Amino acid sequence: MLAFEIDGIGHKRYAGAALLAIAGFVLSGWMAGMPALTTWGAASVATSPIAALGFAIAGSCLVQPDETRNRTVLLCGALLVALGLVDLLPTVMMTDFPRGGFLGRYADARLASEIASAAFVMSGVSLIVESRNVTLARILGGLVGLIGLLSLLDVTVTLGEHHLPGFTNIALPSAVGFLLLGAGLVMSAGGGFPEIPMKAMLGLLVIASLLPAFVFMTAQTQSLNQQRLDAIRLASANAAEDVKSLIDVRMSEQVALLRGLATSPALTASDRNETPPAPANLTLFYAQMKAAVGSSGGWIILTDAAGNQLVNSRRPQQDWAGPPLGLPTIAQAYSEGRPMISDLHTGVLGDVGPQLTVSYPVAERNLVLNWRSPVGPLSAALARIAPRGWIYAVADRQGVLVARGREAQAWVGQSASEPFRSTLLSTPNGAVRSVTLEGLPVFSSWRRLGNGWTAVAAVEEAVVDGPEREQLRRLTIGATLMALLGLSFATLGAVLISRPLLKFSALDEDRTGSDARLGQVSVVREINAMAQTLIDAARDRRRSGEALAESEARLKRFVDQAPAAIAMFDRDMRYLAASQRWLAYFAPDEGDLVGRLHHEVFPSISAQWKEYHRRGLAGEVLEAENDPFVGLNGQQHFLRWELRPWRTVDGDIGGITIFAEDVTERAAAELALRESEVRMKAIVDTATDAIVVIDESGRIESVNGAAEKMFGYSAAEAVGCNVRILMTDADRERHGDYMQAYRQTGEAKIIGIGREVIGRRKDGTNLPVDLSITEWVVHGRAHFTGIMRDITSRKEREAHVRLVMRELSHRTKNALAVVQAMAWQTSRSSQSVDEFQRQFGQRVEGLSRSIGLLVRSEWEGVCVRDLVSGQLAPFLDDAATRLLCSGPVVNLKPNAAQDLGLVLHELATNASKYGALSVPGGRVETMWTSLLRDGTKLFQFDWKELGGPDVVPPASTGFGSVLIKDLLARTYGAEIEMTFAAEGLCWRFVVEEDRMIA
Amino acid sequence: MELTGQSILVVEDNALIAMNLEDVLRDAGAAIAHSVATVGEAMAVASEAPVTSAVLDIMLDDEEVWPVARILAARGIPFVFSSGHFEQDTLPPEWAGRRIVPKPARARDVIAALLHAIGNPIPPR
Repeated sequence: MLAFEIDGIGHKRYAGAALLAIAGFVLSGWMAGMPALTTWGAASVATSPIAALGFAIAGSCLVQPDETRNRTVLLCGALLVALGLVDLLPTVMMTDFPRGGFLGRYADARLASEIASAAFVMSGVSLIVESRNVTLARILGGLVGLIGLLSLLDVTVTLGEHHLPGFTNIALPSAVGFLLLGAGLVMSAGGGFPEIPMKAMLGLLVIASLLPAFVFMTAQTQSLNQQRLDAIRLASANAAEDVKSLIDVRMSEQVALLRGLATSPALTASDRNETPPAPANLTLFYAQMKAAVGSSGGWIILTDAAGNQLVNSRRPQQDWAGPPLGLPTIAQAYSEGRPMISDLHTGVLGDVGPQLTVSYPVAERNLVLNWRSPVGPLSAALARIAPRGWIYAVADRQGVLVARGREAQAWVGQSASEPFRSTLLSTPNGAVRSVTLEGLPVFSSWRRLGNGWTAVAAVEEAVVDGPEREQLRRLTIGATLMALLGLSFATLGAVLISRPLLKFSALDEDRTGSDARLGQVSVVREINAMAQTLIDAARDRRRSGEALAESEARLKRFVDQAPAAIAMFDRDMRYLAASQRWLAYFAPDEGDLVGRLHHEVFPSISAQWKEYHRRGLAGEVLEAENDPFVGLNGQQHFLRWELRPWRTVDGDIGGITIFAEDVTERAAAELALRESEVRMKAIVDTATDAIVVIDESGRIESVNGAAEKMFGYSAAEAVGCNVRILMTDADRERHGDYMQAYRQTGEAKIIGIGREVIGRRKDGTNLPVDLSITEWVVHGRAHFTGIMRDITSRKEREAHVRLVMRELSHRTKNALAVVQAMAWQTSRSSQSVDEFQRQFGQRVEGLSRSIGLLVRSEWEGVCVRDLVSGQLAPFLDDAATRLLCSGPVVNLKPNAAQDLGLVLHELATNASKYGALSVPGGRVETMWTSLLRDGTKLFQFDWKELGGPDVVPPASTGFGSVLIKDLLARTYGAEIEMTFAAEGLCWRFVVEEDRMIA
Repeated sequence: MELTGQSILVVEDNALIAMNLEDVLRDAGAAIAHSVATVGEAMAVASEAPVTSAVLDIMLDDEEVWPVARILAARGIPFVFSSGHFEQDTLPPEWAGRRIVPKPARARDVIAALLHAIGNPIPPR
């Protein structure tokens, strides 16, 4: 594409740089006195150091890039104005200022100096106003440039005497300087060239291309004409010489004739002092004069020195003396003794036209010969020798035309035209342009004759300039025609170029819409290429424009329908956009807010919010959660809002955006949720069951206090670990498979069912837990809550129950076996069924009493005292007085209690039948104690009956006796001692303590 | 008299049951070689006494009678167990083939079991 900038920034810097160069050039020229510079024009300004300074200031201003120039442009402008005024004012104020200002160097450069000073003033003003008034700055710049152009034209084009006053003295470097300065100022003002239409540009191009040729041709023509002028100057000089010669010849002829007559004896023969001569001589001389005159057309008059006529050849015989001749040349000729010619005069009689008189003094006589002749023949002679277009003339000492080759009758005798006559009389030889008496412009050359007359050769300017004028005319016409032709072609070219260019700007959208190539729009290849480029660009732009419009519309819809209250403001808090929800929240009755001021829409806005706006515009981001806000309906609402500045592409703050959301419901919900969470946490934390939450991967998310206690892990330790840490090795493997299976198939083995599993504590010990798992899903992620109850005690109880049941079975069987044995033995010793029934019943009852005691002690053992009192209770109506128990509190083993119970029952039965309990007042004392014998702890039990009937040893050895004597001995190895003392039965057993005592 | 000639060891910690058992065995013609109530006593007797057969209560005051049984088995002396705890199917596998008489037992069950043990001796291992 176009690689160069189409503005004046670069060019005006070039102009500035060139000005600086010119300033140096001018300065060095001044310092060197460089006379070569003065050859064109007087060059006074060219070599002035002040002009150099001016150009330097202007150049240094223009050469700066725009970024830094703004600071210095005013200073430079002011300096230029000051410079110009310093130079201009003295010359304007003081008419007799010695020199042509400081800018000028010579007095004759005064006007040039003023022009240059004015140019610098205008330059300065242009720089000063360039950013305020572009038009004025450009006009001033144009004037400066015009000064430069005129100076340049004056130097280069105009030749000869056709100079512009003042500009002539502005020499080439300064002319170029002013031209550049003007161009730079025009470019500087407004930042570039003024816009020029294509036709004008091409026209300028044509003129610019024709101008040098035209200038060259003009200069060449002028040069040729100068040569012609020189030639004419020479020719005119020659012609003047010719006229001079002609006159000289004529005069010398007449003088020669007169000299001959002067020697006539008619004059010389008479007395020297006789005046006039003798009449005879005069008569003779009259004849001689007649002869001498012949047919020349003139006549001779003999006068004395005072001019009194003596003889006149023109007069008849004897009347030959006319009135005196009043010609000063007669006396002059007589006194100087040489021939003199008079100025033009008229005859005494007035019958002949203008005349000339050549006076010749007669030697040694008071006589002067005067040849008087009319000037007509002379004019005729001049007319004869003058070429066409030439006017030959002769003027006398007064500048009066003596003879003239053209229109002699009209002009001979008249003074030459002023100011030519003055020039003629003051200079003996010369050449000048003048105007003839009849008004013809001529080029005249003259030569002074020896007698004081002047020979003039004038050539009509028409003759001299005619060809030049004709050439110039032709040249002008030709150049104009050429220029017109060129302009026509330029216009055609401009049309060819500009029409497609103009068409581009009106390119139809439908053409830009398609990808088809535009085709040929111009004969200019570059334009076609540019057209295609432009169309592509236009199409792209239109597409991007459409996309942008669509995007903007979408953005507007987005803002409009955003599910939030959003508003955008500019720096004046004017609405740029607001969503519908914003309107609904804050201004449902206001309609469109865009373009309106926030403070106008809400006049009662709080100072607090104004402060927020100010801070936002200062770049701060503000936000608030649950900000209380009284809504339009008067109800308390809570807003969540955020206020932040938005920035333009350049990063400046363009305004603020405010986002607001009514969070009243959410705030309430959050509050409820928080309360619920707190409550739930309290429940979970205080639950006696361990609660562990894991995620899908088995990672522990939370544990409660009970879980911490149950497993020995703190919450901090457990959270994040895999739940396997709470499992036995066997379960760990199963858990992975289980989780995988659940994830893949959804088949639950525990979830929602619950089961007993074995947990593992941190210390490695196991504990049975009852595990129930529930699954819950939050945000698509499954979580599992495991609730575990330590069932150790239940397990123990269950085991105990099993043990008890087994024990019960065993004991029941044992008891039944004992009962069976008891029944068997009782039946063997019974005499009758009644006896069997009674004895058996009592024994079973006793046995059951012992078992009852055992059951009451949970089969742990029976206190000796309880066993004794229990077994004896059926036989005692007043236990407090009839039974004495003394001994330490010791527990019998269950079997021992059962067996001792049987024995005690038999003892009591016997006592109630035969012993102490069979009579009122009888008593039984039981005593038991622990004792030590040979290092073995022994248990000793005594049964002593008191107050009974006389003791009779039992005769039979029934089952009861067997029990009393043998049962403990056989079973426990006890030593049984039984004595039938007088006061009553004594029964004692001693046994190793650990055999019977718990 | 089915058990005539038998000299029998009775191991039973409950004296009443022991007495009853002795009576039953005596009534069946057997002689009661020994009747003991503890494992210690029983082991002393079982290893040396010239008994021909034995009735062993299993639970003896918190001790189990297995050591005694092993001695008897080693000696090839036939015996039967008597227990309120164990039954034929809960007997430890070591004693497969041995009869157990559950308590309470009828007299003829005890005798039959003992006769079966005597009649189907298990050779010592």
